[in-house]
Formats: sequence, structure tokens, C-alpha cells
Amino acid sequence: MIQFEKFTLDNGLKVLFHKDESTPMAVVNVLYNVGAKDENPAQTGFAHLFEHLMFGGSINIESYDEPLQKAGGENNAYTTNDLTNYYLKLPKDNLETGFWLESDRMLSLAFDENSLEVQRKVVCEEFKENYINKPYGDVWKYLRELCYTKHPYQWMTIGKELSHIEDAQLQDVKDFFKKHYNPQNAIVAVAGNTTLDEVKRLAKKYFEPIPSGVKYERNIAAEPEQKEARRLSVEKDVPVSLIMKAYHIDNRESPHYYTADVITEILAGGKSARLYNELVKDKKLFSQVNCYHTGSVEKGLLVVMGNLSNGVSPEDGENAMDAVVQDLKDTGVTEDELERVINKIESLMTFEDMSLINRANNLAFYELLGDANKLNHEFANYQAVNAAAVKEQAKHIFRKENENVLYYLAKEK
Amino acid sequence: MNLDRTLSPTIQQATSFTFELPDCASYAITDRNTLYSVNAGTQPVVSFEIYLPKLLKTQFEVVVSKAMTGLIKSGTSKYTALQISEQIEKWGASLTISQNNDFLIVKLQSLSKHFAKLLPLLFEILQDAQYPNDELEIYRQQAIQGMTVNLKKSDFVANRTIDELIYGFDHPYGSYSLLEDYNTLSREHVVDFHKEYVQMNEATFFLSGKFEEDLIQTIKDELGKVSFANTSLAKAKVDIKATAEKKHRIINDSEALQGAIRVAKKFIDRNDADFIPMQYVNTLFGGYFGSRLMSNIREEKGYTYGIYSFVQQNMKGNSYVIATDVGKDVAEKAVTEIWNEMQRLRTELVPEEELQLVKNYILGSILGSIDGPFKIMGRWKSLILNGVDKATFNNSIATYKNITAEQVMELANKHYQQEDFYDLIVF
Repeated sequence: MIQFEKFTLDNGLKVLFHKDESTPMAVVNVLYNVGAKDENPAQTGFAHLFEHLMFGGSINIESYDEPLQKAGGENNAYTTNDLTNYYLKLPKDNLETGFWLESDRMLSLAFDENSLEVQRKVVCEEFKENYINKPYGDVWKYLRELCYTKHPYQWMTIGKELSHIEDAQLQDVKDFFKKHYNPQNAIVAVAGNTTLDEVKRLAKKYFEPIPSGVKYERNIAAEPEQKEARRLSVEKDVPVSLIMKAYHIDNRESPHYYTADVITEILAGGKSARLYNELVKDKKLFSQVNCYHTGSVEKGLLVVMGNLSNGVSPEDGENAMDAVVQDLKDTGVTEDELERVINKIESLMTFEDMSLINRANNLAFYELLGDANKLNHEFANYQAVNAAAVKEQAKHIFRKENENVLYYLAKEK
Repeated sequence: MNLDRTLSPTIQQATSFTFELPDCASYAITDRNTLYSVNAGTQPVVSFEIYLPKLLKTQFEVVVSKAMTGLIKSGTSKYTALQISEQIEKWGASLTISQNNDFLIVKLQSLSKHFAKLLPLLFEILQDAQYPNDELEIYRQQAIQGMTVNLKKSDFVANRTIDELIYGFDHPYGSYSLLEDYNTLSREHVVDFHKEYVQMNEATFFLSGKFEEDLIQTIKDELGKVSFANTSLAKAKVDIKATAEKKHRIINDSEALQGAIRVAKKFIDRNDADFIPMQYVNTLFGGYFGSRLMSNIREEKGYTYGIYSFVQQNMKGNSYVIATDVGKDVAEKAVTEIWNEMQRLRTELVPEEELQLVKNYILGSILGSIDGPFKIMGRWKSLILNGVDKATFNNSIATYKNITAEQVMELANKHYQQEDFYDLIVF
């Protein structure tokens, strides 16, 4: 149970506070309700590039990092297809520095041409390092484009192509900031060894004077329901061939989301799970298998994937994968399997809550989903998943017409 | 009253904080084995770790040790691999065996309420792992595939090459596995390796988390059933045969867009008087996001997504490494900038403001690192395994609080001489 308090400032900014008297630290987490899905298809990678620019100085404070480090703090940020999240952790006595820094960059950035120039280059290097230079770095580019025909989940957060980042102009940056970075599109979560009164005082002092801005109304093209299976085969200079099969699943707020999560655990949550024992251990068709989902706020993907053993044809591999899935659809799960998954989830959640940063991150994220208190019902949502639901959802998810198959094959030498 | 946002709030200098490393309890298991324990925090979880010394004697043992850690859970006389996984996963627990240059590390983590149930299985695995042949075959194929992928990555090749340059290929730290080793590997190799290295009389035990105190007795009771054979590990050769030539350029993948830079050298030991102050100098130089290297090479020039320097700490010889992946066309320029930053530290006094900033940064992160039982135990582990006590921790705090710009320059002149460093780029 994560205890918290919540209040809203006059400008519409929501603030959450979680008290933990056992720590000498404090965390300020600022979540902006903007992700890669909010980008213009001709300017992808922007939300993530923007995350970098948020460290290039704000309107009144030349450097973000320096004062924070001086206060003994550390920070980081991440961008997903759904959101952008910034967090800092510092000794509790210096909490005010965190408010000062985060509020100034919510007020306005410095919009410096040189900072843009440098961060364009840094992001291009990040693009090369992780998505071009690395073997299999572009798997998700192919898979997303195959699965989504309309919805902006069709591109990765890093962007569709390098040129979108190389071409980013200062005016685009300013427009993006105005549209998405204001109190009405943000959630602040504070956690640590301080008091509600202190958090209220600091929030009113630093965040309340920021103009509320215009609330961004998200208007994203829905992905039309997939009507027939799609396939794509690419050959690449990689040593090992992969098969990935992706299926559309329900959004984060649907009860089916939890069932889908449980299905991934049944199929691939550890070495006692089905895919490993059938395909790697017994049949030896794959050297590795996995099943996971994208954890997306809107309708995401569940992926079954595997690295083919040498000499096994992708068709044989895929058929064997399908047989494991078919068995789940036909016979469902045992009570033992369900118990294992629920115990694992309980354990994962408890370990995750050890970190103050995770607690603050989670509160902000569930508030984005509508109510921070949902965090405290999460485990009950998993406990509510029963064998009948698993069987029914397996039948629903693993339909032929809901399937997107990518063969990512090693080029013959 | 209008808020003047250009003014930073008053900060508490981290140099004025007091740092109290919470105590670590110790319990004798035998006359040479100890269980250390930190019981603290808010979440009902337990982490139990067993450190076993591992200093490899031959190059071939690199591959054997990897296979052993990869396969240890794959069967005992009583249980199959599947039964073992089921028993661990049933309770949402995790059991991992990893290794670094000096130790095999067995780690069992679970919710506190389930922990005692898992202990018998843990010791059964440690004493009776069977390494069945069919599991070894699966492992062999996975490992060969994994290594084939890794060999295409310039950073992977750079990491192993730089260690070989510093220590020599015959040294346990400079050695690495070759693809053909996986073909030679047999069950007997792994079984023999396990017999030799997984011996409880060499082990140190660490328990941390939030748990009922009677768990200590439960663990002692379980350990009472375990054999502590009185044999010692054979000694490994630890003569360093460093490569003479310092500059190396390797083409690993002619189509790569980036080069992996490793600038590195053999470094002073932990008991050298410069060791702790050099942790400070390293942070300033390349050890945090605002470091000299990061400010110059990422934030000013945009050559890289990240650049870091660090001390690779080992029991038998440390190294000092500067590592980054950069665009191919700017790789040589990036190396030149690393030399330039070394020279700046050798010849210019660090400005007072930066000196204080780095102090606050380090001390702030130490404050964050004595928060929660796992992190507190992490601090203790490094003290205990190096045979030092809390005074060393307190001394390091005092050093970080009091270091001067003159000392930094003096240390830079001793430890940042370009000609001492290997200079490697793998494209």
C-alpha cells in the first residue's frame, strides 16, 4: 500500500505526495502527458529529442544539471510512445532546489540554437548506437510498421528516420513546448522524507505562478481493427534468425490487459514456462524464446518471439510456436501455473517498491491513467484473473487475423 | 512578493551532512566463515548472497565458469531443471549465479514470507548440481549464438581487447573465451569446475532486507547441514604481461557507423594513499553526468551519446578505463579531446565552484547509497571483501569533504599521463 496525498494548484497542475520517513532523500517526479504518439508523422522522434533539450537550460536558469549536482542530486528522464517522465533525487534538505529547477523548465526553456545543434547530434549518435549499429536494432521499426497502419504507435520513440531529427528547427521546438509543456498537461509526484505542508508551500511558491496554458486535446487516429494476417520477411547481416509474432491487445485500462500480462508469464515467465520447455528444451527448434507485451496505454502489442536454432526453417519454427499457443487456447492454464504467476507479480511489485524513485514514478503514471490510487488496486486486478479468463483471452488474442509475423533472417553467406 | 527565479534556493552543502553507515551484524558460521546481516527498510523482502572466490587458472576456465553459472540450476540427483525452476518460480523468487573477475556470486531473493522454504533447495543445488548433458547441449548452442552476435559489436570486442592489453591474455582478468572453446567444452569440465570452486569453506554470506530475526537461526541451521570440506583453492597465476604498444586501431565491422573507444591503464591498489582521493578526481574527470569528459565530448561537441571513466576494481590489480562509443568520423578527434582534458587537469587548478560541486555530488550520491538494506549491504560488502572496516568508509567521506584544487592537480599529474594509457578504437 503506497500512502499518498493529492492536491491541485490554481493553474490545474496536479501534485501528489508520498511520505517516507525512513530515507534521507527526496524525489521530485514530473510527468508530461506527451509521448511519441503525439508527434507529427513527418517529424518523428521529437518527443524524445525534446527530452534532451529539457536539460539545455531554462528561461531563468542557465544550467539544469549544475545546481542540482551542487545540491547533491541526480536526475534522469525517459520518453515512451505514451509519455515523457523526468525525475530527480536529492538529499531531503535540498528539496527546494528540485522545485526551483523543475518549475523553471515548466515555465519556459531557454531555446538556445547551440543547445539544439548539439542535442541533435547527440540524439543522432544515440540513434546510430542503439538502432542502426547494433545487430537487431531495427527489429521494432519493422514490427511497428507492420502492426500499425494508422496509429502513431507505428514508429519508435527514437523516430522513424535520422533525417527527422537532423531537420528539427528551433521554431518546431518552441511550438512543441507550448503545446505540451504546461501545468495542465503535467503531473508532479513528490516522495521522501518531508511533510505535506512543505510540499504544498513549495508547490504554491514555484509551480502555481506558471500560466496554466491550453489543455492539449489528444486526437489520435484509432488503429482500424486488423482483418487479416500480415507477414514480412527481411534478410539482414546478422548471425541468428529471429521470428516475431505480434498480436494487438487491449488498452491499459481494460481488465483484459491484466489477463494478457498473465498470458505472457504463462508462456515465457521463467524456465518453468511453456515456450521454453516445449521449443528450447524438448524440440530444440529455438535457442531462445520470449513472450512479452508493450505495456502501452492505448491498444498495445503482445509478442511471441524466438531465435531459431541453426538449420531450422522459419516455417517449422513458427508452426511449433503456434502449437504451443494453440494448446493454451484449447486446454487453458492449471491452477498451479496461475498461482506461480500471481506470486511472481506480488514479488515483482514489492521489490519495485523498494525504490523511492519507482514509487514516485508509479504514482504519477497511475494518476495519468486517471487516479493514482489505482496503483494500490493493481495487485487485486491480477488476482482477479482466473483460468476461464485466460483461456477466453488467449482465444481472442491469438486469432489468425490478429497476427503480424516478422521473419528477421540471417543472410546466407 | 514576486519570486525571483534567477536566484537559487539556499542549499545545505553536502559537506556539512553527517554520514552514518548503519551497522552490519556478523555471525560466525565456522571458524573461517561468516554470515553478515543488515535488517532494515520498509519492504518485506530478503536478499541472500554467497560469495565464492574465483580466480581462474587457465584461459579455458573462462568458458567453463560461464557454463557452470549458466547451468547450475539445470538439475540435481533429486530434481530436473524444470522441477527446480518450478519450485523457485512458484514462490515468485529468483535465484541467480553470476560472476565477476574475483567471485562467483550466488543470489537468492524473495518475499520474506517465502524465503525459508527456498533454502533447502538452494543448498541442494550448490552441493549436488548434476549438469546433465542435454542441458549442456542447449547451453552450448545458445552460447555460441550469443557470442556470434556479440562479436559483431564493437563495444564487446573493445572491452575484451582492452583487458587483454592491460593484463595479458594469460592473466585471469585479461583472458576471454573463444568460439572454439564452446566446442571443446564437456560435462566433466563443468562438474570438475563446480567441485573445485563451489566450496562452502571459502564462502562469505550476506543477508539483507526486512525479516524476522529468527531467519538468522534458520540459515545457521541450514548451513549446519552443509559440508564445509577443508580444501583450499589452487593458486592462479596473476603475473601481468602487459602489451608494450599503446596505440591500437581494429576494424571489426567495416560497415559500423561508430567506433568503440577505450583509453585505459593499470591502476593503483586500494590500499594506496591516492586511491580514495582518485575516486574524487575520477568523478570530476569522467564519473558523472556533468564531468569534464561529458561536458566537452557530449554536451559541447555532440560526438557521443555518453562518455564515462571508472576504476575497474579487482582483488589482484585494478584498472582505470575511459569508455565511449562515438561517430566513426570523429573518433580520432574524441581521443584527442580525452588527452586535452587530462592535460587541463594536470596544468590548471580546478575552479573552486566546480570543486565544491563535485564534492556535493559525490556526497549526495553516497547519502542515497546508504538508503535501504540492499544498498547498505552493498557498501558493507565492498568493505568486508577488501578486509577493511567502517573507518575506511568514514575516511573516504572525510577525504571527499576536504580535498583541495592543489591536491587534484597533483593527483592528475601522477595518474593522468598520456603515455601510460592504452589507446584503443574498435570500429
